[in-house]
Amino acid sequence: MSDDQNDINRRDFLKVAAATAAAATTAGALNSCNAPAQQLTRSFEEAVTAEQKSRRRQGRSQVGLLPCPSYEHDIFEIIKPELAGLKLPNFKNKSVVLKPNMVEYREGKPVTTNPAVLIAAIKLVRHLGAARVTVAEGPGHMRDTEYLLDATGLGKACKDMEVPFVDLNLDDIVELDNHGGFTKLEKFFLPKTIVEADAVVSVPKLKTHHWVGVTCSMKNLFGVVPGRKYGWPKNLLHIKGIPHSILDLQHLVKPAFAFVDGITTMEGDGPINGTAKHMGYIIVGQDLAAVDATCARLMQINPHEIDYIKMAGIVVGNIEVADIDVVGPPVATIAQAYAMPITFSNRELLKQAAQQGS
Amino acid sequence: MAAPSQSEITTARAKALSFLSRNQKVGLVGAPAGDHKYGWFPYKAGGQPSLEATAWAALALRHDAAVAKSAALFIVGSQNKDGGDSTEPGAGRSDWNSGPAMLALRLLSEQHAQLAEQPDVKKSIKNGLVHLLDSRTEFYGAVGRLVLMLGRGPGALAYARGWPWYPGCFHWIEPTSYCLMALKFPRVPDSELYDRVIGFANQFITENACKDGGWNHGNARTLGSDLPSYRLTTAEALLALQDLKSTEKVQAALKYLQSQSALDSSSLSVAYSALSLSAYDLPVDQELHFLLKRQAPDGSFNAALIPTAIAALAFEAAAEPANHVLKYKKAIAVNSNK
Repeated sequence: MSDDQNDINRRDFLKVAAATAAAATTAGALNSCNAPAQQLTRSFEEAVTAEQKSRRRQGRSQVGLLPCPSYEHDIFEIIKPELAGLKLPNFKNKSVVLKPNMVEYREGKPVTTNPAVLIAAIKLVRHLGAARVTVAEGPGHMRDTEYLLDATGLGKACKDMEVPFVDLNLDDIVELDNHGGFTKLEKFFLPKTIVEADAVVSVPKLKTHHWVGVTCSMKNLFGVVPGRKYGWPKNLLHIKGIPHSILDLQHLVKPAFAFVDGITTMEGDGPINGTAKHMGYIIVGQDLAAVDATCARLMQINPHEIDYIKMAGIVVGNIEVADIDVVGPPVATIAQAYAMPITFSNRELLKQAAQQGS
Repeated sequence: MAAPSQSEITTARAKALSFLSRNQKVGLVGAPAGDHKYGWFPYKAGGQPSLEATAWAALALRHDAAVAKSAALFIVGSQNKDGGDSTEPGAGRSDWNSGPAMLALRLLSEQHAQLAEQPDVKKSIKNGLVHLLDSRTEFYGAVGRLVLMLGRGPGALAYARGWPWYPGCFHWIEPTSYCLMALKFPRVPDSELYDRVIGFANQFITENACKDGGWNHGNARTLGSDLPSYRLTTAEALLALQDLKSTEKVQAALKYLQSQSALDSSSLSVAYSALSLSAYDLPVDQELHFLLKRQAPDGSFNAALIPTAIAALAFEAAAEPANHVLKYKKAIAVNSNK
């Protein structure tokens, strides 16, 4: 399937989903979240329906590892020579939404996507022909988006690049049909900015994560869930199972591309309280499952040990080394061991996840 | 730092109210075309209706009887069958917006006697209050509660308990603060049941204070690490806890919030800080200076309805302390203002 076809399918899918949802009754449409979270079991693969499997990306995937030592120079100019060797999405005349990670601010900690990376992503999508570029995020913990934009420098980046910012927490909302989803939620309210975009690009910060092991391009999409409906944090996603919510959001949002801030990353008690670790790469790709699996390998983490990545390998895209073409240095030559959160060795602590924020 | 002049504050408030007025829209999903009795506000100019934005904008504009009435009728008309509210009419299950919606409806009714006398408004408030009682986070089912009571006595059921953002989820500081405000203003409903519910919610907030004195979204400590407070959440929680003014927890939170006074921040955080500190009769000169500098020529703050409404309320509280809309009248005990 061509990139164009992917984009058209995404838009058409969302329009149909929105129309279907609008026709349905809304009162009591969402399932109660009193229901227990979906339990991860080894039988997940057997439990997946043919319909769910049919949404999986077909064919091989490509992931680009673009060396970029620091945030000090124009990142787009640094990676530009490498772009010729990559399969990039066609954004010509498209409306593209870039979704950085701005979950929370902690002075001195690499919690959020660096502004220099966001600027590089804006330049890239413009280079790829985007007619309209919007930066959009719905921070997961803090209602105060204006503060976060200022504190993280992402607001200044938007202004400097003359790109509008949309607070997805307070954006107009559209009800989407989530029939056949993994959370068992029949409906999902998502921001109009996301639903109406021709393409969504995930621009995450690569970090360890104390509830799911690793957060990268797929988990980053939690930020599209609107606080005006689901709150801060988006606790429903935890109650319904973080891996299952991640998968549902992949299918509802259908992100077209990932542009990962893997320059200064986070290890240890991520995604907020960890410590900085230099990796020095921008990681890109159109298959977010492949991107996240590769990023996990760059952290010397087996993606099969990360539940949502393992599940994504069944219903989203490729996670096996044999199915992913890496453009750049061999992963093994640049991978580093990352200190993992305590929850990774003590799974009992994971029981707290439903009662915690990110 | 000298206080801003009265005329500066009054002018800034007038500009903010003008911005809000210009953004009031009319109509209601499902209402006959051209029915203009319902007035609502979006989060941003041109946006969809928002129960939360309508609540705060209507409170800022509450002295305008026509605006107050149309907003109150919008809240009444948007109410779900369970007595709660969603972020906008028809947007699924009742959620955390029930708190701000009920807060506004109760205060608007207090302000305008003719609203309070309307049967549909009365009924809406009654149903809304019952919904608040029923929509708290529940940790144990009926059987679980029975087992607890039989095993450990009635006292076992006296656990801290607040409100979730979304039904069936965990309780958090902000929705609990909104719902507490909805129960405490203009006064606590005359029933011991409400006192108990308020007591459990007060307990939840005070038990989850951060080490630095304030509150964040609700995790004071995670995996062995103390987490910092947020200025905004602390201001919101303090507005809800005025009946506990003399307690150590509230005094510590006030200290934290005052420690932020010299720091400019977002319009929302600064406006909420001013509104909250003034409710405790504490100085807000620095907050007001920051707000005056932050106001856009069109009267708005951050081009958004809620920060503009909160700023307008903060200006009003500074200029006319007797009109502070969220000042707890008798800050001694929960029952004291009946």
